[in-house]
Amino acid sequence: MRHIIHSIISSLSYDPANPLLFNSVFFLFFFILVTLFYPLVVHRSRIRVWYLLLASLYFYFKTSGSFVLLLLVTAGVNFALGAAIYRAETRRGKRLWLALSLLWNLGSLGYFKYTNFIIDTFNQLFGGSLPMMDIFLPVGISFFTFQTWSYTLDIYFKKIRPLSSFKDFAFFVSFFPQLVAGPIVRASYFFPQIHKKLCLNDETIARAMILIFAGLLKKGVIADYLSINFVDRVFENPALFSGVENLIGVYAYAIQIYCDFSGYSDIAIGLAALLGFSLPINFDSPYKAHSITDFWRRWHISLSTWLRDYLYIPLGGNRKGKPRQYLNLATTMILGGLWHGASWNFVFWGALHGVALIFDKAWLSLKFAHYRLVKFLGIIFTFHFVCFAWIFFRARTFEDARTIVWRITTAFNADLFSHWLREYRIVGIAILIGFLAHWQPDSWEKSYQDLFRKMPLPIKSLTIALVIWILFQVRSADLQPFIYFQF
Amino acid sequence: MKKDFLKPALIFALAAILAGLLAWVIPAYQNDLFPIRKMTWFSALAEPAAEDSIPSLPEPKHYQQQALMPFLEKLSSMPTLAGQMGIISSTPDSGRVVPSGQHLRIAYFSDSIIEGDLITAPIRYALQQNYGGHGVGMVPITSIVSGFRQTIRHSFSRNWESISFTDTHKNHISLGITGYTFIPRPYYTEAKTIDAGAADSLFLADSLFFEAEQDTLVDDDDDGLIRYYVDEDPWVEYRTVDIAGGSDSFRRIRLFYSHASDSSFVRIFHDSKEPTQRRLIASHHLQILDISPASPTKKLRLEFPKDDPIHVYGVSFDDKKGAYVDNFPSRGYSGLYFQRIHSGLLKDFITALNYDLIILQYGGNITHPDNTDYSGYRSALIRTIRHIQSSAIDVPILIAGMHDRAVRIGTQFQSSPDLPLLISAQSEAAEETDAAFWNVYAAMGGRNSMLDFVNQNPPLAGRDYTHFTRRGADRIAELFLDFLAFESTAPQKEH
Repeated sequence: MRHIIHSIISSLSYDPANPLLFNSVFFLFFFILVTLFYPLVVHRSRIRVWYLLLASLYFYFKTSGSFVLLLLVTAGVNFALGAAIYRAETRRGKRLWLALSLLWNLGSLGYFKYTNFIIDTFNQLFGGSLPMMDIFLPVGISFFTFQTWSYTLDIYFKKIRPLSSFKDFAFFVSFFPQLVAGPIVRASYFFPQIHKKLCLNDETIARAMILIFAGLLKKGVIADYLSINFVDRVFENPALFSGVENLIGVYAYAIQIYCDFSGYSDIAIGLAALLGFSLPINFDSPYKAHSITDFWRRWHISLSTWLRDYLYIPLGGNRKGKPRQYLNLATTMILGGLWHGASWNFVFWGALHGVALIFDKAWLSLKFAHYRLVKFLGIIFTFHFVCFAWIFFRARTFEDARTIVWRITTAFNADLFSHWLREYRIVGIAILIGFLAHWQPDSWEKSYQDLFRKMPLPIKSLTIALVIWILFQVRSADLQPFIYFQF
Repeated sequence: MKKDFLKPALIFALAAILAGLLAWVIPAYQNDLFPIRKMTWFSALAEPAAEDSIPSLPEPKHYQQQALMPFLEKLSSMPTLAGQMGIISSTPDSGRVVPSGQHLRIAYFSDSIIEGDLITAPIRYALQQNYGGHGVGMVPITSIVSGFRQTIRHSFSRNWESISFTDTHKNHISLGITGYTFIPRPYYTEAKTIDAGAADSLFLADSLFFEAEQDTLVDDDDDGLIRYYVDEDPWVEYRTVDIAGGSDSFRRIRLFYSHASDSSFVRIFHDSKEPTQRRLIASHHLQILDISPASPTKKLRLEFPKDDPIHVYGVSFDDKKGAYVDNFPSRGYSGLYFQRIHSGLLKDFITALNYDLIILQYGGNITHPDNTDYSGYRSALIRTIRHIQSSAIDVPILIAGMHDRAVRIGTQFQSSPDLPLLISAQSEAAEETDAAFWNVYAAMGGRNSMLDFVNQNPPLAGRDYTHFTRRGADRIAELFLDFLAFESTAPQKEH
C-alpha cells in the first residue's frame, strides 16, 4: 500500500524523461479527475475559468516543468502589449507597441528554437566555430506563441477588443487540450466562449468520443508503430535500403505524420468538446486534396489560415499584381516551413510547396483543370508531390534526402516487394489501414457517431477500454526485427 | 444540464475499471503475426520496478589480455609518420628505430553493425594517420551495402552468385576471408531474405563435418531460386573516395581467387585505359594475382567470363607499408561456424595478408531477451576461435563482446536482460582459448547505455536500439582506440 501511495505521489511531479502525452495512463486519470469535479463549476464561469486554468498549468508543468513560468510570462507580456496597442491613440503609437510584441514573440521563439540553427549557419557560411548552446525547447512554444501573437495582431487590426482579465487571457493561452500541439486557436474564436453558458448533449459527446478514439488509434497505433518499426530505420540510413523500401518508407511516413499530427489535434478537439468548448477543425482528410492549394485548405488548417491572415495578406496577398502575389506565396511558405523546425530542410520543404502553389494558381485558372477526371488525377499527383516534399521534411540532412530520391530512382529492385510484404506484414497492414481509413467517404464518420450515440453508457466505456487495451498491445509489442534482403 | 457534464467522467472512469477487467480476462496469446500480451493495468501500480530481476555482470575485471601483447608491441614499435606521438600512447622504451617498411593489418569480422565500413573506417583512418598506409584493405566483389559504404565507390553487375555464412546448404564451397565466395554466372537470381535470427539456429550442431565434404562438388547445385539469364560478363568496379578512412588512389591491387581452369582469365581496366587480359592459374588453392597499376590510379574495373565458375574472393587495395583494417561484415551472422572458411584457405589468406590481429565482434544475432543459457553458444564460440587459431598460428585474436542493445520490457526500453550472460559466455570463451577480450558493453557505459546512444542529438544509434549510426560507430571506434591505449600502458603485472 505504501508503495502504491509512493508511486502515485512520485508520478505527480515533472519527469523530463516522460513528458505528459494524451495517450498516457496518467493523462486518463488526470482527465477523469478534471471532468469529475467539472460539473460543480461548469455553470459558474469565474470559478470555471480558475478551475480549468489551474488544471492547464498543472498539465503544462507535467509536460515541460518550470517552463510553465515562461508560458505565464509570455501571456503577461502579450496581455500588456495588447492593452497598450488598444489604448495608443496614434497609429504610430500602435505600431510601436505592435513592433514590441513582434520583437518579444519572434525573440522568444527565435531564442529557443533557432539560436543553434543561426549559429550553425553562421559557422558554415563564414567558417566560424561558435559553440552551440544547450537550449531546451519548451514543448508547444510554436503553438502558444502564435496563439498569443494572434491576440496582439487582432487588436492591432481592430478585430477584437482586449480582454480585461488576465486570468481569462491566461486561460485562453494555456487551455490544456490545444496547448502543446494545436490547433492554434484564435483569440477571436475563443474569447466569446470563455464566459458563455456551456452545454453538452449526447450528440456532442458522441462526436467528441469518435474524435478521441480516432485520434488515439491514429497516434498510438498507426503513427507510433510505423515510426519505430519501419520509417525511422529507412530515414536513419536510406542507403542501406533498396529503392522499393525507401518508397514504402516515404508513403509510410506520409501516413505516419498525418496520423501523428491530426490524431493529436483530434484528441484535443474531442477533449475540449467534452468540457463544452469548441476548437476549430485542423485536418480535413488532406490526402484527398486535388491540388496543392486544396491540400493547404485541409492540412494543419489553423496554421495555414494563421499564415494567410497574419503574413500573406499583410504582405499584400493577391492585391498587388501577379508577380508580387507569387513572391508573397513563396515568402509565406518558406517562413511556414521554418516554423516547423530549425533547419534548411524545412526551408526547402516550404519553398517546394511555395513553388507548387504558384504553379497551382496558374493551373487552376484553366477551365480544363476542373474536369472531374483531371481532378481525380490531381488527387494522385498532389499526393505524390506532397510525399516527395515529405522526404525533405523528414530526412535528417539534405544528403539523406538526396540518397532517398537516388535509391528510388536508381536502385528500385521491385522484386523485393513481395519479400518485404512477407516480412513486414504488420507494417504493411498498418499502412494499408491508415490509407483506407483516410480515404473512406466522409459520410461514414457521421454513422460512427450515430452508432456511438445510441450505445448504452457501459458499452461506451467498454469501447474505450478496448481502445486502451489495443494501445497497450501496440506499445508493448516487440520491435519488428531488421529483415535483410540479399541479392 | 449539470448531469450531462458528469457523463464524460462516468464514461472514462468506468472505462478505466473495464480496462482493468479486460487486463484480467484476456490472456496472453502467442502467435506469429502479432503476439498478444497480458495487459498490466492496476497491477502495474502495485509492482515494484522490474530493475532487480536483471542479472548483473560480475564485478568489472581486467580480462586476460596476454594474447594482445604481440600486437601492442608491434604497434608501439611501428614507425609513425613524422615521428609524432601515436594515438596509442607509447610505452616508455618504445624505440622508434625499427626499419621502415613496416606493415600492420587487422581483420575486423562482425555482423551488420560494421556494414558500410562503420567502426572500421575511423579506426583505419586513425591508424593510417599515425602509421601511414594507402587503401581500404580487402573489399568483396558484391555487397548489399555498397551504396552505403562511403570509403570506396563500389558497383557490380547482378550476375554474381554470392555464397555467405548464412547459406548453410553450400558447405562444400569454402568461403573466402571476407566471409563470401563469389562465382561468375550467366544469370542472376531473385533476392533472398535473410532471417537474422533463424539463419544460425543450428549453431549448436557440431559443424566440423563441413570440411569433410569440401571441394567435392564445385558447381551446379540448384538452390531453387528463379534464374534470369543475361548476356553480359559479370564485372565489378571500384573507385577511390578521398575521405577519412578511404584513399585518394589505388597503389597495390591484388585479386584473390581459386578454382580457375586452364582457360580462365580476367580483363582489367585501370582508370579509362585499354583493358589488359591476364591468365588465371588453375588450382583449387588460393591464388593471388597482382594487378597493381604502374602508377597510382583512381578506378579499377574487372570483368570475368560469365561461363567460367571460378571462385573469386575479393580485391585488396593497400600498399607494402602502413596500417590496414579490413572490414568484414556478414549480415545476420552469429559469428559461429567459422569452419565455413575451410582451414587450408583460411591459412593461405592469413599468410598472404599477413594479419597482426583478428577481431571478432558478434552477438547481435544470438541475443534474445528470454535466453538464460549460453553454454551451447560458448562451446560453439570456443570451436570457432580454435578453428581460426589452428590456421592463424601466432596471430592474436580479440573477442569484442556484445554491445548494449535495448528491447522492450513491458512498455519501456531496457537493456536486453540476457546481455550479461551472453557477454560472460563470450569472455569465458576468450579466456578458455587464450584470446583477448574487449568488453564493448562496459565501454559504452554498461546497462541501458544504448538508451543514451539513441537519445543523443544527433543520435548515436538507430531506433531499433541495436545498430549504430555513423556518428555512433565513430564513438565505438574511439572507445576501441582507448582500449588499445589503455592496454598498452596497463601495468605489466596485470598481464
